[in-house]
Amino acid sequence: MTNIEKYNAIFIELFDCTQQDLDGGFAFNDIERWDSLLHMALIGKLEEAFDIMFDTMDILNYESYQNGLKILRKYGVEI
Amino acid sequence: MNISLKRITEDDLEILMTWRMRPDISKHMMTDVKLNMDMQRKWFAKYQAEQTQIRWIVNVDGKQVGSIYLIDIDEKNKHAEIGVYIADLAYRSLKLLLTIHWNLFDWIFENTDLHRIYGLIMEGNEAMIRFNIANGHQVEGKMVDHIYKNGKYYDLNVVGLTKQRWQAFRETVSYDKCEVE
Repeated sequence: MTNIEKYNAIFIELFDCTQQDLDGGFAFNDIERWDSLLHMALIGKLEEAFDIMFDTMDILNYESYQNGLKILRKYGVEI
Repeated sequence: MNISLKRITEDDLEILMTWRMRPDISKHMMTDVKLNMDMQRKWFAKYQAEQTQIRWIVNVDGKQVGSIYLIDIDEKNKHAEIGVYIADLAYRSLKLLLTIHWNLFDWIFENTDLHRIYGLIMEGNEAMIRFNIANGHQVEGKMVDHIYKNGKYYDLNVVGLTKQRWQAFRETVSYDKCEVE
């Protein structure tokens, strides 16, 4: 599984969404059930999958699918 | 977004009771409780007399959305337990949660003699443990089978934050200031 496939799979599992939802832009503010615990659950799954640990400000600024890709690249994840 | 932390008053007892008994809130607490207003008034009299806890209502743009609190304040050993819940689902953002914690940490370590605050997190709430690491705490350990609830034992995870750790950590983050009463 490639990194982008792993990334997408985490979103699809956690948010019960589709690949089309992700491709259409997926901002957390637009998701009704988005909350701090879901936010931290996502962070935890990404850290485990890519063997990284986010700085707090990156966690706070992790606000969408697309913006998350940029943040992951900061940690050396080729995605 | 205008955020403030206001000390609880007798006028808040009803909303606190309603929030505390909600299943989505009490599932993360060590106990499930059934409260009434008479119990609340007695509890509040004790709260005022003993002064071993401080509770605030979280206000956002004039709306009461949750509560954050220090309990088991130990003046001899200079520590207290911190807890929080956001009851209004529309306000359960990470940004709000971090903002109120960081402002409260500033208030605690500038205005009280406390040296350490800590959180106790029930087994199964891994996201809350990761949240506490993100807000500056370190994981200190685990009390195995420490809580017996609804016929089952649960581990209790301990996270802690000393004054020195906060002073170093706060330099690594930025946050909006809010009023803490």
